[in-house]
Amino acid sequence: MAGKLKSTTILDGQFEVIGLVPGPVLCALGKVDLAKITVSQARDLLAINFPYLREVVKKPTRRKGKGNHS
Amino acid sequence: MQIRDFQNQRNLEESAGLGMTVVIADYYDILSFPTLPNLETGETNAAYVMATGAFEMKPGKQFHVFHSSLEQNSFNSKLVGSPGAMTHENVLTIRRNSASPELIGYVRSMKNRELVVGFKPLGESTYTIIGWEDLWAMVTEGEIDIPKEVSGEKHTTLMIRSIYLPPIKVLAIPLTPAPID
Repeated sequence: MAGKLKSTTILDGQFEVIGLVPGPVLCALGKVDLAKITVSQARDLLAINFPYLREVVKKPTRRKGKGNHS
Repeated sequence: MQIRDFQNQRNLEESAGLGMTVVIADYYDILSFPTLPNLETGETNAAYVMATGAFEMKPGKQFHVFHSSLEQNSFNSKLVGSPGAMTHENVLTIRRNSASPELIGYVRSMKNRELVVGFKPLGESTYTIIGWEDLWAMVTEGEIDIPKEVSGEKHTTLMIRSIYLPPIKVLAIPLTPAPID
């Protein structure tokens, strides 16, 4: 890759479209519109190693005032 | 790259013919290509032609669609050259049964241009690419033909040729541009 690819979040921030404006892509599942897919379709795309999508892994948030207690 | 077994692989969806949608990008609109297969580490025959990763387009640039007529597209890949120095020559023929101004203008815009072209053989899940980094494809023949008989085959045809690399397979081809910063 030439550099860091710009990504765009879709589906309420659950997935990121990488390096493209979300829109139609041709793939094994046919012509898929990344601007209109469902969560289920997004998971189907990830299952075929679709290179223009990734799932956003949300870091667990720490609760304030609840550190480690021994 | 090693010789491997090729054993009977049943494909109930096997078929001749290509899909009617062909996608074409200007070579210079692509910022980077998927990664070509590693011929040392490939563990299957298919791995020798399967690229991984994504096309990275330049901001605002994209692959464009050409819709052919049904059963008019064809593809041929040959080994050419003398034994010991043989390589691949790939020719995609795309045809639309029309000679409209849109098509004539399309032919005009394609000639002498460096191209990267994707298409899908029927019965396959992957897309085939001709034209790659440092090895673009180009139109080598084009024809706009209006026969004299009404039963004749009116058509606009382009033949696009690439060399050296075999038909390279990719999982997906984007039809939208890269985001503009």
